[in-house]
Amino acid sequence: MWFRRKKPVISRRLSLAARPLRTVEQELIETPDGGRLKIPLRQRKWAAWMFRLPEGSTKTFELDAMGVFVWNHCDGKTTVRQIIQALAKRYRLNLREAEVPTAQFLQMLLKKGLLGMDVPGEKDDNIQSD
Amino acid sequence: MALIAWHGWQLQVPEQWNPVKLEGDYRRGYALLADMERPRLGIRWQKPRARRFDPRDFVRRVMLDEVGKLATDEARPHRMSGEQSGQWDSPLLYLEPDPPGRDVFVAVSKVSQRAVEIVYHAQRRERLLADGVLPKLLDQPADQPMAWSVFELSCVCPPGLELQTKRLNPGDLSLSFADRRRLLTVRQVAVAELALKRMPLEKWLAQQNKLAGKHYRADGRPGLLEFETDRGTLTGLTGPAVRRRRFFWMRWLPTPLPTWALHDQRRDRLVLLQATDEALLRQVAPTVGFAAGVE
Repeated sequence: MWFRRKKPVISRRLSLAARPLRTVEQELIETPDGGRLKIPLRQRKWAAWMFRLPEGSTKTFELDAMGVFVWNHCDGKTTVRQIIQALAKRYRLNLREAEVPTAQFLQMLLKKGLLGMDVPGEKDDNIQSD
Repeated sequence: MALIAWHGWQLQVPEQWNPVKLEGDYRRGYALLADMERPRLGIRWQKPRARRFDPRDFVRRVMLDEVGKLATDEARPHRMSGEQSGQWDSPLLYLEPDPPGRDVFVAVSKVSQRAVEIVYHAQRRERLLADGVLPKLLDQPADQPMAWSVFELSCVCPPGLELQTKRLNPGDLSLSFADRRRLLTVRQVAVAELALKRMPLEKWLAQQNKLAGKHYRADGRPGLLEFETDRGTLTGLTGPAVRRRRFFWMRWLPTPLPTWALHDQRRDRLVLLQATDEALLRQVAPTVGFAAGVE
């Protein structure tokens, strides 16, 4: 498409050095199985003439214990790599076993608009490597 | 260091390295190990078919294909150290003099008559391949119990059983082995604490039985199981399944299919085992997770 904006492609190294940050202010409600996140729904202007959302409607996200662990680490200071390493250490997982679900979970949160990513520049000296 | 054991090859690599590609069988295959950044180590093996097979010539040809003529001339015969240093024929090692580049090792194993080629992606001047990986490289013969270890799942299979299928999802690893008469499935779910919150052990057992549900049905209520191993006591459930009556004519399918669901509390893992006979389960169950203690 002519006017479609190209999605930025970031390298694996940069994606691991990115710092996820929560974009919602709502606090996580801890439950025995993990946690629950209630996000108020926003009415889109163009949709308002079709149907109106009831006042105070919310969307609830149920997170398991691992999800809560990752969510709590999305503070804008911890990098994706550090989250993966912390998760692997906490649950005694192999790094690869921790990496795949963490990456998928973060992607899902990004898609839902619950997270933003602070991606460092390609020439950033602070990128941690092995 | 972590133990990788796959199709007879056994090697110890840094813990951050994990398989990202596993292809082939005992005769011919390929494995690629990578860390979070980049590929680190590639292993390719094959059993040469030629009748008049000359290991030295074969090794040189493989090296030539991998690094070219100039580098092959620089490659030196490698003196293997370690437990089974005498099991290699014509080991040849090329170390990249000016990294980044590739260090390559090629040899023929006297144990299985298979040729192995190991390529290490060297980023800086280091001797990790020569001093770290090669001394621990082992080849296991096909007619003896064979160790398998990938990610966190490890077990020792009786001789004759070949890998049929693998399902290596993060947190749910499963390997299935078979020969003409026997079937064996070893499955490991991580983390047991979370898995048991999601579903009780009986349901995990039922779910495992359901995977063979086309030909088998659960028979009776699950019974309690307690199993002594070197690393402690495993507790769990046993739930037999029997072949469905409408498949009476499938004589090659064993009539009972015992399934065990065990909770390994020490490692915090669920272990699900399914085999054609209980003796096979008793033989394999104590070996599941053996690599967790390997240093």
